[in-house]
Amino acid sequence: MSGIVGAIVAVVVRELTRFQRQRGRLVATFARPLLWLIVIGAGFEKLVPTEGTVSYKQFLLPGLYGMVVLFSTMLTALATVHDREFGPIRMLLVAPLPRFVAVIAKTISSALLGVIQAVLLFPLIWILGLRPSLGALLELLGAIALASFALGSLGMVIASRLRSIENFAGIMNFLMFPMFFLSSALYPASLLPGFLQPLVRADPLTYGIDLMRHPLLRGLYPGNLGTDYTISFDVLVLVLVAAVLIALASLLFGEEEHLGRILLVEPPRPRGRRLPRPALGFGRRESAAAKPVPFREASPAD
Amino acid sequence: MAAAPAIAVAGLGRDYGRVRAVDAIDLEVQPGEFFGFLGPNGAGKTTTIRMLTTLLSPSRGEARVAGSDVVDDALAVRRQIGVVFQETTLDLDLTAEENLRFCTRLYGLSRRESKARIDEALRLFGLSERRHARVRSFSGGMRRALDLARGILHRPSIVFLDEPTLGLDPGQRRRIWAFLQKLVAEHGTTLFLTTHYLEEADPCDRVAIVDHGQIVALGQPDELKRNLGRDRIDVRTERPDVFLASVRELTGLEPQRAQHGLSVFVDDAATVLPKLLPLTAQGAEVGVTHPTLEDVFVDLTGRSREAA
Repeated sequence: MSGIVGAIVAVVVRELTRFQRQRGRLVATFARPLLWLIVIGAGFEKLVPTEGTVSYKQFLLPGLYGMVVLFSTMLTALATVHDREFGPIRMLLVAPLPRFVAVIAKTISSALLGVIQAVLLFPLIWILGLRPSLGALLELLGAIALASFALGSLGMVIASRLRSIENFAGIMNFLMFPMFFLSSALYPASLLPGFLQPLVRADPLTYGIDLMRHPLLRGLYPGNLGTDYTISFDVLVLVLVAAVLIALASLLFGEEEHLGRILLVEPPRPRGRRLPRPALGFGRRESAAAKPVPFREASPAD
Repeated sequence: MAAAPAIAVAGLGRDYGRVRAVDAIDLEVQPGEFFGFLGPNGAGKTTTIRMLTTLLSPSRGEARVAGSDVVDDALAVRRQIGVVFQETTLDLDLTAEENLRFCTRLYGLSRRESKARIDEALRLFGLSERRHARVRSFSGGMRRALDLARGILHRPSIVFLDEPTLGLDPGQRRRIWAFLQKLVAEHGTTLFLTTHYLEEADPCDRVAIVDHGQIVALGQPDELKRNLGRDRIDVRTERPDVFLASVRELTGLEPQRAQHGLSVFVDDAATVLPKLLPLTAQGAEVGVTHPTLEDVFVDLTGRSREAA
């Protein structure tokens, strides 16, 4: 047990040390959401109809936190692919720890990095004129943590299947952007046509952002820019998503043939030749293995 | 009482799809043995190590490391082993000390123990002065040394090393080998190491030569070389084809092609050498030396390591 905690501490400390040393990542944390807030925010403000007293930018803010969390967790997942082949995660896989420890440790550090980056953008709450209570702020923090954890576990499932980081462009185009655009981060999901609604509901980010929107818009009259689900429903979905995906990632993370085993396509391992059991006096003796191969017989006759 | 083998392998094999990376390997390594697993690139060395270290499950056969099955009891195996991978597993953005600390945390060492071991490992590998420097600034040899230090930090009883000297200059290679020999002598650690630098493997207690996923020879380096003959007579020439027939005719032995020209292996050079002296008149140089592991490999596989 102490080994498991030690491993999680080891991974978390390493990730935080790296984050703090990678200045570029810190700059990107601020630059990307600010760009969206200022440019996209200004444009969409004119397009998205509002019925309440909540401004579009106030509506957009939880969506930006969702975006920060999404990008952070997916980048961590990408780094995990590299780490497993050439990095410290490889050490973790030969340490005397169950495979799921690697997944849990990575998910926790991934979630933690997502939370830190979102918290660095908390001043925007007051800049945009929102005045949440301390309780509401803590609620927001909890919502960000839960969303980070759920997305972090999704990242681990992806990382367990990716063989190289070159696939990242595909992940970005076919997963990250659709998840972001379908999540009600930018506009109320009700504006999307009916055939997209199942996808909206299948997107875990939808519930994460909804959960963040609750504390930030509480006490205001949001009109059509409000929340879509109850807090307990959002929490339930995110917890379920995280639990299922962590379990799945733990199964998949070890090696490539695990998926085959789950789908029952791999034939059982033939065990034609067995080693003698240690109980049967498994000692130092001339075994077939130690027999030297005859030499000189096969000299090349060219 | 005889000790149980540190590593016992029977019929171990692994396929990647339809490619047979390791065919069927049988071997036994005794506790405290310095065992070399030699062969050209692509012979299945790394795949074997991955199976023995529980990173990859075998397609067939069985392997027990420190008495535990690598599939059924992987955790027990991992408790006993240290692994140094072919590619570095260091975090370049962390310092030497932070990289080592990652490992001591992983193995649940106490703070005090962790500090003592890290100090010792850094001193042993001559890295004490660079302990707070980021690994990115390290040379290849220093990185390798740190990788090695990390692989043995938790004092495993069996250490697997996959090409530990790959890409190092001769001086660095000698230092790594000296350290490995010390590890076996002082701590009784079992070492299982792969290399494709055949000439390096002489310090090993025993070596297995693998080719195409199979063991083609297994024994002490001297024993393997003796099987070839005690002496090697070299015929140095730029045109081996011209001399091939005459060497065969003069000695009655089958010459082997080598980088320097041709070689024949004999038990006593004094009886054979005079027969070859006429060749010097035709522009070849003739000399006597001893067979190397490289010769053993060429003899067994019919090709030089470079050509493999």
